[in-house]
Amino acid sequence: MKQFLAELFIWWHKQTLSIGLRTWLKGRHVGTDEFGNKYYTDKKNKKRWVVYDGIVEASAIPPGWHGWMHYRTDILPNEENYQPHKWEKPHIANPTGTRNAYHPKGSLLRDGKRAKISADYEAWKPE
Amino acid sequence: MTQIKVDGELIEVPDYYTLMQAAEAAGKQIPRFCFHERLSVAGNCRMCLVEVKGGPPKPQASCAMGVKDLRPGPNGEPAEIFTNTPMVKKAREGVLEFLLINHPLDCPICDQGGECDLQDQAMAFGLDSSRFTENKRIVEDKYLGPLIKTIMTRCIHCTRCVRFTTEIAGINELGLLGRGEDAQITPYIERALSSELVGNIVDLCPVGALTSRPYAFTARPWELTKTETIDVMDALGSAIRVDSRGCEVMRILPRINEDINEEWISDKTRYVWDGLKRQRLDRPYVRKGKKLVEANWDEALNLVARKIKKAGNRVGAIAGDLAGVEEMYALKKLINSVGSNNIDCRPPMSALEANMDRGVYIFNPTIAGIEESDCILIIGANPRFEASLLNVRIRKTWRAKDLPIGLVGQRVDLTYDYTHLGEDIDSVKALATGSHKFNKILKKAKKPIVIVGEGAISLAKNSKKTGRDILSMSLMIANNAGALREDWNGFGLLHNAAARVGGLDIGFVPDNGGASSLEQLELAKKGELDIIFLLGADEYDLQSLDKTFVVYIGSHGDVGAHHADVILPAAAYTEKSAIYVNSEGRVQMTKRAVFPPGEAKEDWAIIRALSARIDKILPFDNLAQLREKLYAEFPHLQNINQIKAGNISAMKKLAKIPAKTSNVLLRSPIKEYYLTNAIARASKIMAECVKARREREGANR
Ligand code: SF4
Ligand code: FES
Repeated sequence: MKQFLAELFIWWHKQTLSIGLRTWLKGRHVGTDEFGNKYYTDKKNKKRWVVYDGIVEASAIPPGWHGWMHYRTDILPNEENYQPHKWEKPHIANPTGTRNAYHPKGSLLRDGKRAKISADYEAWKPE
Repeated sequence: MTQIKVDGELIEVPDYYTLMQAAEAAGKQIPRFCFHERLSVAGNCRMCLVEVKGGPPKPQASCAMGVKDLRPGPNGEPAEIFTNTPMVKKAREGVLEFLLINHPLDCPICDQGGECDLQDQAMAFGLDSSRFTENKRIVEDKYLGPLIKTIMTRCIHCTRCVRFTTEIAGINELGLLGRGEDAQITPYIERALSSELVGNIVDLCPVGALTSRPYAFTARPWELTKTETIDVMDALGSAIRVDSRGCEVMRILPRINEDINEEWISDKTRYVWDGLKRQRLDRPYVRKGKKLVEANWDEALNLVARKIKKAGNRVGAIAGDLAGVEEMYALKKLINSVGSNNIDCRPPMSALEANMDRGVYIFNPTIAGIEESDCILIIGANPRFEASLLNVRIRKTWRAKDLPIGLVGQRVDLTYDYTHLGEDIDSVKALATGSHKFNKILKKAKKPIVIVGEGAISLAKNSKKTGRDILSMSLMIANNAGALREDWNGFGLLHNAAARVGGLDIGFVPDNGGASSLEQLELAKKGELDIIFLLGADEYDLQSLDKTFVVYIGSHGDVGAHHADVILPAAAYTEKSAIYVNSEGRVQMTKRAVFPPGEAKEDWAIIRALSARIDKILPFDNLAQLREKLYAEFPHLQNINQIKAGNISAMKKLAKIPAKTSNVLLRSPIKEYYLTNAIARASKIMAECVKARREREGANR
């Protein structure tokens, strides 16, 4: 019941009711990426979709699956046996708006203290 | 008067006018680089070329040619000049092209950008492209001291800087060496310039060759907010413009005020701004045990209020050198409201009293009036460092005409020749009795001026009588010389602090048995004064005041703050609108350029808040109401920029020669010109100036 209500009202977590319904009716599970996102296609291999593991965040899809999702390729990454280059870093989802977001030097969100600016004055301190 | 036609328009001008002045009288703008109204004519940039009819068939430099140099036409028609013909246009383009041959095109990284004459005039009169493909000349940068940054490749050899330093500042340390392409402006040897006016050459330089070193790369002129206000570094109140960005003062520039500073300001005035950002009192402090700890306003004010209530009338107040009239007025009312008269704004042992006429304590002849004078006697002052711009006026007059100048006091370099008349009080006495050689010269003068330094009438180490003797003898000298006439009041007292005349005007001096500053401190040391207010007063001996509760109201953490029991942070002169009366007695008002830092408040508001907590509410809630009350009591203060004249007969009454005088040497009270007040002492630039001066003097020895 709780799951049902959540799927009815919460669109930003995992899947909505309609996606769940469609996945159950038509979906064919083709693979799961290293973050646990599940990828589906319909029987005719016409439509492709993803059910996120956690928050719905498009940038959570790693590059290989991104290619498959956007019909750039039909080869599934888990069947491709791709060897990453030395310089390739592990994929991270866009952290904007999260705790891990980047805050430039001087941002109040960085450490709660603002950086020195030229207009600052030096206050007198007793000894 | 003579007639001349400018671009076909007939005008009448005095015959001493130059062609440039005549063209300006006709409303025609002439571009220029080397010409400056207050400097001699050099005529070496050739930007001001005009076409002359009836003269030689070539363009003429209009700044250097007089109207009377032109021949009239064959039938006596007036001479003609043109400022907008093809010949003039071509001449200007040519001059600019030549100037730009060796001028670097580095406007984007040049501090002068946006206020550069060459930039503006190249836009207005120059060619749109360059035909020059050869290498440009490069000139080594020179060291001119901690205030001036030089990029000499940019110099266009207008020689304004050379003319300023030799003519106005009176130092021969800058010159032009070499000729043609090898010409260079140079201080000859690597040493800081020895004048206190060098900052002005930054303004004078039409290009970015001389720029302000502390200001370098910090702001662009178009992003600055300009506030026209006045200076408080000395008692002259020079007109300044404070350029600020956000809550920060970026630089200080002079404004033109013919009555005081013409268009120069001293280096202290110009470069003190970094002191406004250092050592600031930005929150109240309260002494707990032996230590000053941060407090909030409520806590601090309540503590002071409790102490005042307990103290009864054993309360005193001393106003410092930078206090404005409003806050002194408010403080006076506060102290009076608890039944005390212990208020003082004078230096220790000052001879000036509460009931004295205004004429005794102001600079009656006025600064502009110096130019009319034909003989000057200086007693116990060093005008060069006490009032630099007044010294500039004396030098200007001295250069313009035969002006005998006498000095009693320390033998110093004043940038002009003077007769040294002695160093002690006996010389003053001799002058007063008429037995001195200089008396003959004084007698002959029609408009003599007697300048008395504040230091001479407030000799801290001696008794009050000595100062009073010098004051009355100086008045005697002035009277005997005929300087105390209705049509010429030549007696001038030269103060050292911006606050002084204002304080004297509103009677911030003890009368009816009040204690003077020195007496207050004495009482405080003995424990007979329970609470003492220091309104920015740092120049006193504040040692061993443990028995008294010291309240410091001020903007900078200096001597006063260290000895305080409660610190109430206040605004500096760029952060409030306040009335200051300058040494001439001229009423002037500052404007707020930026807000005071942190929790600091305007001084009068602090005092008003305090009055509410001791249930003696002062009758004003805002500055306008305060001023209304102030003006009602002292009407002359509402006449901004006006001087209320002194009363000659009252001054004459004070003139006398004491029978016995104790002997003292007359010395200027200024020990270190760059460090005369709390703001200057907080400034790093001023400290650098002191260092540079020491180095220079060390090298001289
Ligand atoms: S340094 Fe500036 S003021 Fe001096 S000669 Fe060169 S351009 Fe003129
Ligand atoms: S302004 Fe006339 S020559 Fe420079």
